[in-house]
Amino acid sequence: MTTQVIAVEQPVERPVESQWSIVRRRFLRHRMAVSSLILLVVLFGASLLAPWIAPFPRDAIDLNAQFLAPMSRNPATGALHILGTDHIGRDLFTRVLYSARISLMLAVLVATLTSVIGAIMGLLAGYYLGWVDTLITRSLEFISTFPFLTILLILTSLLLQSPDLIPIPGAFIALIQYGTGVPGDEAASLALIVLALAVLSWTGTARLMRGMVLSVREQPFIESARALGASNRRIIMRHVLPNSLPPLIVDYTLAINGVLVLESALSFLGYGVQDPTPTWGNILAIAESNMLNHPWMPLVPGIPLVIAALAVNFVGDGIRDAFDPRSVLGGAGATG
Amino acid sequence: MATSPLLSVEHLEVQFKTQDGIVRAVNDVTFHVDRGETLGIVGESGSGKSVTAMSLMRLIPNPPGKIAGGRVMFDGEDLLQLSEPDMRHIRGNRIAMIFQDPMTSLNPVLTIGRQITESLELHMKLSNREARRRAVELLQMVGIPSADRRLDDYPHQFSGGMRQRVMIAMGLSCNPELLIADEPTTALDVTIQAQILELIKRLQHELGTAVIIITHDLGVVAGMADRVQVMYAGRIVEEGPTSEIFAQPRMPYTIGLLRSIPRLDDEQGRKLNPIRGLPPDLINLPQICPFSPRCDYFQAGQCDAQVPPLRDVAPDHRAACLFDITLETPVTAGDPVSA
Repeated sequence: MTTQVIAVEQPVERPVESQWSIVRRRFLRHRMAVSSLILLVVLFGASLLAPWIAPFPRDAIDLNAQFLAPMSRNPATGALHILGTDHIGRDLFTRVLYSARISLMLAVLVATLTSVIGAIMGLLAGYYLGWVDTLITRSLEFISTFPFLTILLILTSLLLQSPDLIPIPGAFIALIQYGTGVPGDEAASLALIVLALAVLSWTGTARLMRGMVLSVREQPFIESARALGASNRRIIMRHVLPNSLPPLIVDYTLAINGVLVLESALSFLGYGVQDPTPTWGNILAIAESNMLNHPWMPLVPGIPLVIAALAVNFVGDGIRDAFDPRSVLGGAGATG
Repeated sequence: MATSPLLSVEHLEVQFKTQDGIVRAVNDVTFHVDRGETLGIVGESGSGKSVTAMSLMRLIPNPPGKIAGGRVMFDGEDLLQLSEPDMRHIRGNRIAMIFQDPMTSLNPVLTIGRQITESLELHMKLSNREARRRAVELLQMVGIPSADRRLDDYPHQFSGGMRQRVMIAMGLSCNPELLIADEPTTALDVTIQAQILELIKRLQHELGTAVIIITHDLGVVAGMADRVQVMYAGRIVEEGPTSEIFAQPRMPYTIGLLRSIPRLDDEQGRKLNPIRGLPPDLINLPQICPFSPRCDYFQAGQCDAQVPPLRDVAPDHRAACLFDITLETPVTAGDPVSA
């Protein structure tokens, strides 16, 4: 019998490919996604180098050079302001460059926190069901019935006025300081905004994850793992989580995009990141109040914001297509 | 040979709570498995055979399922009384299970190697290298060529038969005393089916494992089992040595099952000979013979007055029928048969 089997089942020589390497290969074939990813990396990289390549200090006020148009020179010093200046004469190119790092970092941080909280909640609810599920589902329903923006505004204004209301771990502030490159006191108020956003927006991820877990937990391989004597924790970490991951990853990129735009909206309303910390959102907010006289102003932060948001979206698209075995990418033919 | 059986199940009751009422999936089931022997459990869908097997491992999802009564004595211990961590130590280690569908019983995102070493890590506390060596051994044992290389492959790179071999390797990795095979060949085509059964048989002889093989395929049981028990509506309705059951069935249900098997030497164009009617609804089980509505030998006033107990009809052969019915008993409804 054994010889028969060898004859019939001799495996065809082919590279061993894990699901992840297939996904990576398919992602790399998605041209828009790859160029978007490169664009984001370049944008972020340039922002990292801002202290060296920016023509002016980040917060340098020059009241002789208010509202200068792009490509105009400083009347006193003759220095070139590539993208003009704002209402107190700060160089906009410098600030937009700095804010790329801050805005993207905030978005990534909030999205990460949201995904982690949401994934844990969804896993617990979907796996254990019963009262755990009831508790988590009811509380996320409760949170999602809040008028999101209103609560967010109240929360951020409250937190910004009395920062000691919630003790924030020093390590978290240090992480933000390190990630965004802002001074310590600014990092503390950024931390508040990150927390406020994360606390209010994990519900969607939790729902998504719960749904995924509900379907994965009924798969026969979960039962067979249990029959091998695996504990709940092991089953969750080794079998349920990896099989529920693909939609979570896509959700994560979309969350980054969402936060990017939400932070702008919040800053635009005056409750987001506070001046002088620059973000695309609060530069836009300043531009908005002077828009009628200086119509070029909103475009300066607006264009990179839109480009970054689009790029993140394309990356998310690329990842989703890479995970979906049915999608055919650019007529590239069948894939493994 | 030890005097006490390896596994003895006594008066097992399993119920499921549903919106329509309580489904009594397993009713008062008592049986035993000796060390090294093969027990076949036969029955149609919904007869409680899989639920019985799952309750031995305490894998009934709760809620909605519940083991409502009885004892499962395994090597002197009542499994139903064990704590969950103690039970985990039994699962995969001393009692292993092979499932029906090898296509979905393996985790698609883990390599075969990692899945085989899972129970080795859990129960035998082997180091990575030892576990890997053992995994190669196991794959060779179940007849997978170039085992060392195939450990790094993913389930989708294996065919159905190969995956069932992997499942068997996983099941046997810790040398269990009892292997429960729940319809191990249902999802496979006939030639592969024969190979897999042959493999289980061979390994059982080599390792001395007791096997419970659950199936609706009488052919599988005939080739594999030392003893057979037939289940119907959550009850054991007949049990005995395999040859007895096939040659001298004493329960009308078993007789019906055997008569419904198509034969190769039948004349062409003969229709199949099914058992008429449908299995009873397990929610409202009246206290009558569960098979009586479909039985050709039904006796009003007797079959619908009590649940017939299992009684000895021959040495080691018991059937749950009030009457002495054999293959020769003429099918003439209404003709009284002496008790």
